[in-house]
Amino acid sequence: MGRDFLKRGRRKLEEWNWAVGLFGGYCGEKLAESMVRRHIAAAVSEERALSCRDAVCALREDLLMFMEEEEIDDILAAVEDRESREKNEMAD
Amino acid sequence: MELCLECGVPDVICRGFEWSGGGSIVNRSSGKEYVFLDCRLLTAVYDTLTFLDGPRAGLIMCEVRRRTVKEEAVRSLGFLARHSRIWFVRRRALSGLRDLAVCCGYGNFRIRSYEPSGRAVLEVAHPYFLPFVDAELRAYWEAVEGEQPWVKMEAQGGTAVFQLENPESKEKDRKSRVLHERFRPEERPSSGKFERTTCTSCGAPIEISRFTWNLAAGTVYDPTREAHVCLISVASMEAIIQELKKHYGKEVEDVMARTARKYMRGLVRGNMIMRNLGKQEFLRSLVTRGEVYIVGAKERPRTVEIEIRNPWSAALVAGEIAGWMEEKERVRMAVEWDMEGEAGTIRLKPADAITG
Repeated sequence: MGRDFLKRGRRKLEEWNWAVGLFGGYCGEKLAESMVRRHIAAAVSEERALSCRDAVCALREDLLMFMEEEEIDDILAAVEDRESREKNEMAD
Repeated sequence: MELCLECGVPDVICRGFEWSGGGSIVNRSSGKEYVFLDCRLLTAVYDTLTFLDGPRAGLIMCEVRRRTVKEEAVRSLGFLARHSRIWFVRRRALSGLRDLAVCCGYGNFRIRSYEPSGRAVLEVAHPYFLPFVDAELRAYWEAVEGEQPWVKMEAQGGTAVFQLENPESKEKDRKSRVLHERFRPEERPSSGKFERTTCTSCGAPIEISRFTWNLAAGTVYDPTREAHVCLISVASMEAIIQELKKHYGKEVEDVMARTARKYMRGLVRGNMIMRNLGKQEFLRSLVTRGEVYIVGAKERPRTVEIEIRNPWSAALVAGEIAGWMEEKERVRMAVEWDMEGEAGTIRLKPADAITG
């Protein structure tokens, strides 16, 4: 049972690997993984945020502790890009 | 405890610490290096890491702090306090540690009650950083009483009340560690830019007389930075950084440098004195705080190279320098640091000059 739980957690995080990659350049893979799981993936899956972009926007103040405004804007642009691509794929 | 009439530095600091030529402050009783750190910088680093990894990062930092402070406290206690179970000797030892904490800017530790059975209520006013104060109290208690206490903490406004109690357990053996060899510069700068002058009465560097020691509140205020500072052990902070690197990889240093840079920028933005400081003055202030020893600073077109020795943390020092320069020169800077043993170089370039 414990193993199943771990597998499910891992599978969920694998879906978010692209976001880990985005933040990994600024705070390292491990911290980015933890941050994405705790804040972004949790917010989206618990429906506290409508989309990943919203989740990142909500974190802006906290991210400013170690990131520059332009860096956050770059990440937001990448997230938007991915989300619009996903929407187009769904429509097709 | 009293303040030097000439420079205003507490006698505990003058007698207990030595400003070596190598840009370090050494505690005479424990033999460890110390550094003046901004309390808000500590908070910023802690907040960033706990935001990224949650309470685990905070726990790692506090646990390492507790472990290292315990070792230092055991070393600095007298023989009697270490080996005798007489409670008033221990009470005296605890007051000695409390006096040191007041002078180092950790806050005002008031012992409300201390019973021979090993139960105490301590009141900490103006704590410099509450998670570390909690860790330190556990460490001091363990050093004095010989076992880890059961702790209950209540924070009310700017004051925290700690109830400590001894669980029943056997006293553990305590081991002392061998001192490390400390960096000393081969040649002391003669009439150079980083020369220090000392107070004729107490021998403390005259630069630290600008700090305001409030012994009643247990705070040390740096009017140049307009920030409260604390005199904290380098070995302890290094241990924290090493432990964080073990958990999160080398990149954690980058995060800390980024946080220090942002912190420094915010500090300089609202501070005319800091903005008007010259480069040499700013670097000299880092030496006096025990953060680093500056061998020299070379200015090349579009690059500033600062040769350093024995930094308490190369990443945080680099971040602080970069933040200060960014805000002063209004240019985004990219910062790199290379360390080989205790010697290293910090390179600052305008961000657009960076390739790759």
